[in-house]
Amino acid sequence: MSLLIEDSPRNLLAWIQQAIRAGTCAGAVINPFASPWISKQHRRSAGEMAERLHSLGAETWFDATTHALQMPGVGDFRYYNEYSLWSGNAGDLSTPALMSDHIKRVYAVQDEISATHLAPTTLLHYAESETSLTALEFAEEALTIDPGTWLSIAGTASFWASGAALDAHIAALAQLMPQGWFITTARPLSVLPAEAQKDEIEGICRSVRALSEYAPIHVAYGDLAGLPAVAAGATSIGTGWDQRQRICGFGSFAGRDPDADGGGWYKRPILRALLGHLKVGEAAFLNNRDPARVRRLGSLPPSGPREAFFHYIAVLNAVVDSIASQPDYWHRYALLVELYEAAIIEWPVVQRITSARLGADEWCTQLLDGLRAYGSGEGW
Amino acid sequence: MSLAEIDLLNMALDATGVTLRSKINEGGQKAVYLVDSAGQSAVLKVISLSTSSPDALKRAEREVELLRSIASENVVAVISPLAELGNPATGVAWLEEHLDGEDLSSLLFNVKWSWDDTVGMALDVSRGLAVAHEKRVVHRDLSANNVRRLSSGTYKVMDFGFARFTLKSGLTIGGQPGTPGYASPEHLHAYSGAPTPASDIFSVGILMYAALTGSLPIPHLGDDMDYVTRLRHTVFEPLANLRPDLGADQLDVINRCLHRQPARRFLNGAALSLTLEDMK
Repeated sequence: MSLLIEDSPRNLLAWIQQAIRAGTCAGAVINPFASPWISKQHRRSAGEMAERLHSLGAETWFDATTHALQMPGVGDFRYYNEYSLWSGNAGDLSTPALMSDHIKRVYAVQDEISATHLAPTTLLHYAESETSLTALEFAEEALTIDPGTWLSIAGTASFWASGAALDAHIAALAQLMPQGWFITTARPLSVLPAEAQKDEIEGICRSVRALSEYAPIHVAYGDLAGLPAVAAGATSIGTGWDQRQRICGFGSFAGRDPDADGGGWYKRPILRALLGHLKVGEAAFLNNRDPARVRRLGSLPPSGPREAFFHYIAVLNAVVDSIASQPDYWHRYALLVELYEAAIIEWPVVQRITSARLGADEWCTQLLDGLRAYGSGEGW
Repeated sequence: MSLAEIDLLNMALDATGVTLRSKINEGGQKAVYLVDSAGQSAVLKVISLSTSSPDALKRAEREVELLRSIASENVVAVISPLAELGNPATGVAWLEEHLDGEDLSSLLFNVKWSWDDTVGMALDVSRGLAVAHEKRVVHRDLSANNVRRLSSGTYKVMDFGFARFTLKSGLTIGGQPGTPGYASPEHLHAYSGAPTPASDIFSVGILMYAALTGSLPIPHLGDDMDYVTRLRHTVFEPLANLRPDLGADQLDVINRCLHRQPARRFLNGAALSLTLEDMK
């Protein structure tokens, strides 16, 4: 089990419980932008969610997602202010006392719902700046308060692509030796497939490879774009049915999501060998025209959003597990390269049959390029 | 000696309560004297400040205090607090134990060392660093000039980088202390990417490489930009080419010390010394 379901304003706890019982996910991450502290008529509180998760023996996390406060346009505070995570203005980390106060308040929420301590962090755009120093000091303070905490690293693509500066920043964090890591790539555009770039993926892989020698790593909102990090040593990735669970986009934390159904991603089936999704109509057309190909590429779920979701996380979980079960870093890397290469061969034929707009270029190529760049640095 | 230097020395002697025996050496803004401290030989180190930001001085004072609390046979004993000379401070001074023997710099580069001798040196150095790292003190400027082999054969680490924070001339482009040829890639960075204990480990790797091959892996050849480029990319002749007699485990330990990514090295002196103990 290598998946954690990220939180969503479109909460479907029953789906999470079913996935946990089916063994396709290990637990869930609650966040204050998506779940209320106080129950609403149609929305369970963080405490109730945690209780249900604990009753299943599932992993229960509370990510304060403090880094969302630095995203342009953040404004969805319909639940956030119920948590009392700040004594002053939300996001004000200008003094050590304010940092310490926020960390303690986050830990207090985690204690109240019996979640493992996960320290808050700030959003970084580059790895060598006043802000990156603040993030390091924030992490140091979090470990001073609780040496058993997990730490977070959150950055935009430019942060993860900052080369030697990234390596130096990661090294300073590695010295802190936390119990584990949550890493997040925040993206200006909330679109799927994630608009990942080669340099960013290489930087993530390099960082994960280094940190994974000492502690487990969760790739928050990683979804399919998180697979290279798994190849580099990450233990789990975050996903869900909603677009906002599959990508950490600035828009996910802005006012109200203008995209009412999140692009309908929860309905779109995945074919395992493609490492990407088809639209419902495209999948149906492919199955009608070339059922043998569909069988060879994996399988399609019965119709319906619930079925599409359970099929999806079963496929994703199987891919993550197959990578994570390899005996060493090289085999993890080699397996994912092989999967991408195979998918890149298959996509053009599928696109020709279905007229699908998205193909290998969008789903696989940049991820493979970044993965290969990481492998090249390892001498592979 | 200029009048200013004489003034600084007199202030240092007053501040530390010692009497001068002789000058040991002088280079740039740092002078080292043999002094008498309550009947015992000691070393007085005096630094002329070209910049004296309160933060740098505060940090230096804190680190000197931490080092004074270290009792290790592999670290030179600091036996006085850091004394600020003048108001505003134009220099700083402190006392250290007097060591016999010779600097590692006079022992390297003439002959290729055996693996056992190299590990012996690196083990002492990493043990010395381990005690400092435990107290969250990073050397930042480990080189052959500040490791001393005593007549007993024990190696001691000297001159932690604290004082060089106050020296403009001792800073690299990242604002860190460091000696060309012995710096780590992180010496080119600042803010959160500044040197960590793993940067000291990189320097131990340099010392081991130099002992085994007679040359520095990333020497400064006179052109700063060329040096920075090679340092940034950690470009060096593979040790296996120069010492084909070494086994894979032996090569691995040094290559790990010299890894371009600091988080891929031994993270601190304790981690390195544990591995070296098993290889001795």
